[in-house]
Amino acid sequence: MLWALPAGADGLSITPDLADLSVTIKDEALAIARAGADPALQCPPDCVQPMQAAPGGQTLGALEVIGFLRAKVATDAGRVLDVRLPAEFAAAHLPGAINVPLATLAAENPYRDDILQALGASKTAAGLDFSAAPLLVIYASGPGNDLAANGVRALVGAGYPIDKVLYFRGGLQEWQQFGLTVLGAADQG
Amino acid sequence: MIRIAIGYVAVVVLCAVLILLNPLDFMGREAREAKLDEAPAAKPVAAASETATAPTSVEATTAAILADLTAAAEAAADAPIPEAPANPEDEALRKMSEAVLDGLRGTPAAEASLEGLIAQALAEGQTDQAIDKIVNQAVAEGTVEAPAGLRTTEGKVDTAVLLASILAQAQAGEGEEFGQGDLSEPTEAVEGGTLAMQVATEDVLYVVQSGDSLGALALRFYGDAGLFTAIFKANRQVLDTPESLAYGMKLLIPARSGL
Repeated sequence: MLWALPAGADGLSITPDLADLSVTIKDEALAIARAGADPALQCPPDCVQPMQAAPGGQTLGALEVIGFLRAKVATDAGRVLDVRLPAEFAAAHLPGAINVPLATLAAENPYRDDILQALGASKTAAGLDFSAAPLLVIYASGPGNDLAANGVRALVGAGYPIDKVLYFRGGLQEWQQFGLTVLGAADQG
Repeated sequence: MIRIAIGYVAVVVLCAVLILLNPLDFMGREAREAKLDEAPAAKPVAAASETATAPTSVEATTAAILADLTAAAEAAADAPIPEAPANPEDEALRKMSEAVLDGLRGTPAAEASLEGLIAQALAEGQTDQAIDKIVNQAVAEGTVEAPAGLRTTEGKVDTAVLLASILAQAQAGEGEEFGQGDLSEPTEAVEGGTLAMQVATEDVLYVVQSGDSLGALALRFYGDAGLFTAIFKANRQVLDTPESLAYGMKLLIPARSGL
């Protein structure tokens, strides 16, 4: 056979490199696949996300994000960024979150430096200085797509120190799963 | 040979057409590289009224507009400013970036308020008539709310009174400057002197004319539109709300000294 099925052609992949797999546990062959997933999804971007968004990065759960809101955001030492599109943000978002769509953090955005400076970086002759920049928590819809992780990587790529960029992998999905307060049009409608 | 020549001409024409039809790709680079903060022109300041508590009186409204005017002058330097759009994608990115910057700087995205609307119009140097039109349109569409005392018998907003009130307070503020100098001009737009002072030294019985508002009456009889509540209170028998003022109503205007 000259052509091979690309990973996940007959179903949604787990990750870009892993379509499905079978493992043998105590002589029993077990198959693991995303057979129960929404057929409209595509991996990428809708892959199962690893725990870390970037090497050396820290990942938070909902409880840590609540702690962050109380200890950091309330004292202006941190910000929670929602990297989804403005319309999604308007529909529902975490209390205290600011919408910074991923596209605005891309290197191609000529206004990215303005955004980084508004975030707290200071401009020096050698480039942007992030020493006084606040801690950030990055989230998107949930652990089923790469949006938030890409947000973390975009910021780190722009020079934001990895130890200041925290990844809320569960995102809005985890937040809502606990029934925690969300703000936005969907909430009031 | 002729075929080669025709082919050559065709290529040249095609290139010329491409360039003409798509000038932005060839000329837009400078615009694309322009930074938001360095761009000129005034962005409509997203008038963040710090006095968010819905002002109900003419005085509160006036004070808020004056505060916005000074804030607008300060914010003008800081506001991200639109450049000529280079192409649709850049334009979308620019808009998104601008919204992000507003969010990061804590400026609510264009929150509509009567104060912001008028402050912006004044800063732009609009005429009184233009401001009146802008305000009434916004109120008619329900995007902003106007104080009850400024509703005329026709249900419109008495912008003239509001502007006169702003002028009076600005002058009282020891010659504070508000940029465009519009405030220092006489209020000739206040309809042929109908608002001329007739200070009420004793109770007056007044028959409401077409176009009157309680604010206008307060300005005329007391020199202060903010005192419209005094007239309202004295006429609760005929007025359910300040907006219910109607042509032909007989109002008691209490003497200024009795307030």
